[in-house]
Amino acid sequence: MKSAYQLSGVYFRYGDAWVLQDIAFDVTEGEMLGIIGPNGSGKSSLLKLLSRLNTPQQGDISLRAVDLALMDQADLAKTAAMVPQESTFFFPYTVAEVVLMGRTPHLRGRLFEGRHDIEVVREVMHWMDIAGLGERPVTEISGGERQRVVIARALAQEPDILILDEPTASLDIAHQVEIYHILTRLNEERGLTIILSSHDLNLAAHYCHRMILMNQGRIYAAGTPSEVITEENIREVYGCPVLVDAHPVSGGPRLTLLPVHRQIMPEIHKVS
Amino acid sequence: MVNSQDKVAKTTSIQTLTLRRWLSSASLLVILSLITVFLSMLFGSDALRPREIISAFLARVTGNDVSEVTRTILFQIRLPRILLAAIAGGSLAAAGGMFQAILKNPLADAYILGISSGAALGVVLSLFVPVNLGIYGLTPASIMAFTGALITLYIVYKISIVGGKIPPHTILLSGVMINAIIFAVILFLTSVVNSSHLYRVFFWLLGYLSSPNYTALATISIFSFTGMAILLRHSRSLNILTLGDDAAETLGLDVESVKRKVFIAGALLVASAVAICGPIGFVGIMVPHAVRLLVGYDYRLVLPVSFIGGGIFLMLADTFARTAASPVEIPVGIITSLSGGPFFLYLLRKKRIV
Repeated sequence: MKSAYQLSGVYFRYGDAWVLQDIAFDVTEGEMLGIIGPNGSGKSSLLKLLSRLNTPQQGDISLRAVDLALMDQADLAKTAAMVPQESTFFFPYTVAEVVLMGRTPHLRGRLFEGRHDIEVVREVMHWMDIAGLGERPVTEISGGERQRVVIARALAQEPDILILDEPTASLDIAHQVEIYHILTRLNEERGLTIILSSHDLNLAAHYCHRMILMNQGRIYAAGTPSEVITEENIREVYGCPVLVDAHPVSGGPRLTLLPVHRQIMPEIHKVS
Repeated sequence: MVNSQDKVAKTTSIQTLTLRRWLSSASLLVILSLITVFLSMLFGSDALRPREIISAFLARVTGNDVSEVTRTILFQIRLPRILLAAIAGGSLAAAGGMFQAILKNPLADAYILGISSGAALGVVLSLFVPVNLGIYGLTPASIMAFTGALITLYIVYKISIVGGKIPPHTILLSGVMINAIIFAVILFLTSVVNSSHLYRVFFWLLGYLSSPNYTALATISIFSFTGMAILLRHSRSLNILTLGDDAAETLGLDVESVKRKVFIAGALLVASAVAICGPIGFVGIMVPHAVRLLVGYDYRLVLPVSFIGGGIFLMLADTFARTAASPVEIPVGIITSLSGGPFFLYLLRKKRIV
């Protein structure tokens, strides 16, 4: 199995406080990797390291055996595309215009898109089921549609690796499942390597091949979903009691939140 | 199954800007602009008939003689001033449109960044320092204004760099502060000297057009067209920059390099305009907003249309300024502010553009 990313001894900090410490892992080509962990555990910072929006103070990151720091900006964009957690649009560009912006790394110095660029965009819009939205302003469509537009823009870069920061964060359950379904198809049918972060442990466990559990800037556990999603790991890292059993359909790990017992929060109980 | 999907994919309409649409829009506006030039030549304290203008232009080619008065009015007074309006209006509008995109602020233009106040300080200083710097057809005041604009923009730019990057909010805030400081200096200088200077500074700050000589016109045209060429070269990148620095970077754009280049282009455009005309208000804010309502938000089209449209707007405003209260001339900055301000408020309330 070839490695897409290889990280070893990576340390990263904003200002004085270390945000990521001693990070080492490989991402295998063609896998779907989920990164989980509590707020502030370093998930977003880690994804930004992979897309070179952050540069580590120490350690090595290589993308397909090339030092990430030395890669050409456009070459990087053609290899790994990033879908940010939130996308804001200053101008109400049409959906088609936004997806066309994904062709940027392929245009180099050209000012106008060519026929091939239009074909690629048409295809990814079809893939993301937004073909009918082409002329709509991106500021006037629903959150679920906008997320698909941004994923389509990333796909228009024709990348081999797709990095998504909490792609289902502000979506309802139907749209969450839809996004994961699309990602799985991209992974299986197009061979895209997918790296995503998530707060929904059940969905991530259901769809990802492998997971990394982050805690306070370090990797706490890594492995298959059943190896990572254990009662002990989750209780230790998230600090809340959970029940893990087998999912009745998939057989993978299923996590159930347990209501916090009164004894755990005595002060609050007293006040009320 | 696969076939039907392909059919759907092929019928999806994707409208994008093509070279053909770009050229046809630009040509249409150039024609409109030429018509405006012609119409503007008709008006003035001494009205000329269309025939007179045409025969005067023909005389240039054939060598036939026309009356000395007509020739002087047309080629020494009216035409250079109209061309100055076209170039200055276009430069201010295109630069304003660019600043709004890279700073992601609908109110951004040359003023907020301190460029105009820097130019004004240059003009004030030129009144104190009697140097003969008249080169390339420009007066010492113009040269000082040009230099002042570039230096201020450089200072604002340098102050705003945080860790090798230029966050939009720091650049806006430092621009506002530099503006305040420079204006305090200008007021201090003008209050300690005699009042005739004060009057001149006051008039210059309002923004007015004069009839420059052709050498000066050529000089500012070179700066303006250079700036415009750089902007057009990066017009597609400006679209990407409005998505935010991080998004632009992951799309493969060298964000800081593009910002640096378009910033220099903006400085050239604005400096070329304020050098002769002074800070003419509202062109840089109003024209790009109106243009985006008309042609959409693709900067490959917004920038050239703003440039030509800004020129048309200032030519019309100046024609009004020199004829409305003839023989008294109204500073054109008053006309642009009086028409631009309410128009912007209308857009704000009705179209919800900002």
